[in-house]
Amino acid sequence: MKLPAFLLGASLVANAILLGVFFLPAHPAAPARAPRPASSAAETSADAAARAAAAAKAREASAPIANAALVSAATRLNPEDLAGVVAWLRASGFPPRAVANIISRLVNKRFQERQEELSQPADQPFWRNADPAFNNPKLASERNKLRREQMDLLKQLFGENMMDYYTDSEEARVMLRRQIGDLPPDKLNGVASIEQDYSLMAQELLANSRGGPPAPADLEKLALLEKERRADIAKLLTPDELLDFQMHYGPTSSRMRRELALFKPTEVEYRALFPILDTVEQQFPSNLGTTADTVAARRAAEEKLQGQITAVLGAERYEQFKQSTDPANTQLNRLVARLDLPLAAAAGVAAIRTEVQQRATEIRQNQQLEPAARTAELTALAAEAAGKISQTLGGARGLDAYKEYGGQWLTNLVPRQPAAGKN
Amino acid sequence: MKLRALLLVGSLLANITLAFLVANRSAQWIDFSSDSRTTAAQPTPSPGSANESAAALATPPLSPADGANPQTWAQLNTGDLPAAVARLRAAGLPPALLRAMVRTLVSEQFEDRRKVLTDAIKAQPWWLGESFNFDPKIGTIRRRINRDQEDLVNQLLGPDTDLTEAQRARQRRAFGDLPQDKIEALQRIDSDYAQMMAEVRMEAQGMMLAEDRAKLALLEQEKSSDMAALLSPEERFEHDLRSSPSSAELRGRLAAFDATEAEFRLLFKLQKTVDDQFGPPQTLSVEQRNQRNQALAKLLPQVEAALGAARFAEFKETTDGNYLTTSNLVRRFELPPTATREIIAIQRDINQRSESIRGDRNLAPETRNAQLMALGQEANTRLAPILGPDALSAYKQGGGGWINNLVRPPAPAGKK
Repeated sequence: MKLPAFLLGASLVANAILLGVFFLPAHPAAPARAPRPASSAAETSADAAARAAAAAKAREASAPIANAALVSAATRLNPEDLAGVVAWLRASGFPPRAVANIISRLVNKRFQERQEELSQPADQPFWRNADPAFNNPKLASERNKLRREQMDLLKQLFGENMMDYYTDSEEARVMLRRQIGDLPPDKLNGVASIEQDYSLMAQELLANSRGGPPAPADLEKLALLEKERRADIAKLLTPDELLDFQMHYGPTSSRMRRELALFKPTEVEYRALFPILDTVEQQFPSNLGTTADTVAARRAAEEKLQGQITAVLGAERYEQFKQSTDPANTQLNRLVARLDLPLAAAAGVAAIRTEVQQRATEIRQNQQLEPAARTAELTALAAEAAGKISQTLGGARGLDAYKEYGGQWLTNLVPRQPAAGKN
Repeated sequence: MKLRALLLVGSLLANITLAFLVANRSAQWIDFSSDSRTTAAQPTPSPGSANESAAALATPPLSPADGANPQTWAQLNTGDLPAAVARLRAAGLPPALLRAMVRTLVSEQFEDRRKVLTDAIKAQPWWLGESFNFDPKIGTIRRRINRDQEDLVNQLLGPDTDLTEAQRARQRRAFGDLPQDKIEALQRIDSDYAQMMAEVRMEAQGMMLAEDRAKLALLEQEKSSDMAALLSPEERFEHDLRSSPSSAELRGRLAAFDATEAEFRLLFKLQKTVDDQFGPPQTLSVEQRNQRNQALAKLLPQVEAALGAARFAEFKETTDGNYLTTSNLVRRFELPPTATREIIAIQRDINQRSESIRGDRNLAPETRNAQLMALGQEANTRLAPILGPDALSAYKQGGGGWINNLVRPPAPAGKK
């Protein structure tokens, strides 16, 4: 009888102890931290305090939902030890895009302060313009060194196949295809690496001009750099891949996309025009800065190609090509696009202007007209021109906009009356 | 008796169950309990201390990937962001890593909206438009997604207060001594309206029409009302003094004047009277901008009264467009500030002499051109030691176009 009573008592005590153990806070060792890697010396005391506070808060408030693997990570992971973070993210099942996303942010954060030191004045008074530090070639060189350091770090973290991480989403792949075409994945990293290297070298040379146009000596160096860039890319790709890549990416492609926006070529027209326009671009690279001389020489070279362009496009489309690419029409073309009108509207306005200005010249040169009659005729001509242009540009909205963008000649048609009281 | 036996059996069964549960939980903790064994006996070294490296040498750290659970991403990326954030917070992740992970988890929740964006990009012919900003509508979708993601991150974690020194300096420059909560509210107002104004400008494609200016003016008005509700009149004045289109324009105009704070405040008050009347320049038509310029010119007597005669003379000289352009070049190339006046003196001298040559009806065209070319060469010779080759080359392509006009070869006969 006594034994069962003792046994029952002992068992109930054991129940209580086990219940107590089971419901104790779940993380007895949480305050202890794993030793940090040596690189943690770079962590600031503010970071350390914030981490300690966050950990303490977490232990107090959320221990029951703490995930063992996460808690374990929290005690070991240090944002300064990026290789460690990458290893943990990979081992924890994070997909490449998430790893790239997280690591890019941490890398940017790490370099942010140093980048800002090289591009922003520390503490300029609010009443003074911030000095444009980006125009300083010495700082530009330092900034480039930092960018290289940043890229090297990313390469170190992700290996040579860095682009695989950055293209692990449909959006990234679609954007990339738009920008560089359908390059085989195994060549993507090589191309990206070449482009990054040349871009940094070109930026360094461009910085010599301190925000202005490059000096002739730098223009020559930039042109040489562009040739070398093309040659390096050509070594990596087959001729077909190279042509497709250049049609998507590079100075010729950029210029064509910009200048043919209103012409709206079909893909067939674009591909046919590319080799023709690329010859001029190779001769006079437009992305490297221009001088009055190179602009004139480029125009002369382009003029010689008009026959080939006509042959590719046919006469009717060639007229539209000319209307949309002639620099003299740029403003009018853009206005027409802004008003959602067809390119033909710009050609219509240009024709009205030519005709009206010719008639205005005749009126001005007519010696038989009295000044008052001349003014009256010019006034009537201006009103007629305004009416026609308004009709072509879709009404008063279009006419008002034209007067502001390129149509000042309409106002100047009528001679100004001398101000009263002035000689 | 029976009851006692039953209790005993029940209690023993409960012990077995509890013992199993406790043992099981211990097994789950293996990763960090082993961790604690290696470190619990040692004091936690302070960051950067000598103890830290000694501790690291004494007990080699475990690899960060040790104990990682391959299911962690799947467990976090369930769509329940508050729960994921709670788990990450509970684990005590370092703040920078926590924010980076939450941003990534938030980004995953925008997949549907990103699909809309991706489809819109796919629908654009690759050979038309710029590589990146090829369609204002797509740009708008992207910016809205990014803004909404950022908002969600801030809702989950609060604003990022881990600012760099440069960011803090920028904040002081932009907001002065405003309390942090007002700074955050102002930043929100700024970013909201900047987004809406950027959309108007994007749609305008560089061709601002009357309707675009009207939209911008309305947005400016609404922004102003929102700011008035947040700030006292004094705070508003101090804010506008630092961060308004008026103050930005004034700073640009005074770039070569080297104003003191007191002078800047005086000039800002004067300019504000005009801006209150006309609104920000970006919302004005060409005609309205001309009227505004005339109104600014009418302020000159008040400027003179405020600055005094000597400083007013400097104000007039240094706010002249030619002076500003030259002085910017001098600053860009880190030349002595006195170079600006020297260059302008040479320019005035040569221009005066070239006007005399051009106005001399007795000169044959060839003689006139030869004299002008000689003047151009003289300008080059006099400017070279002041500017040096690089700055001289930049000057000729910038404010020094007048030299090119002198040395330009004469137009062929028959052309005007």
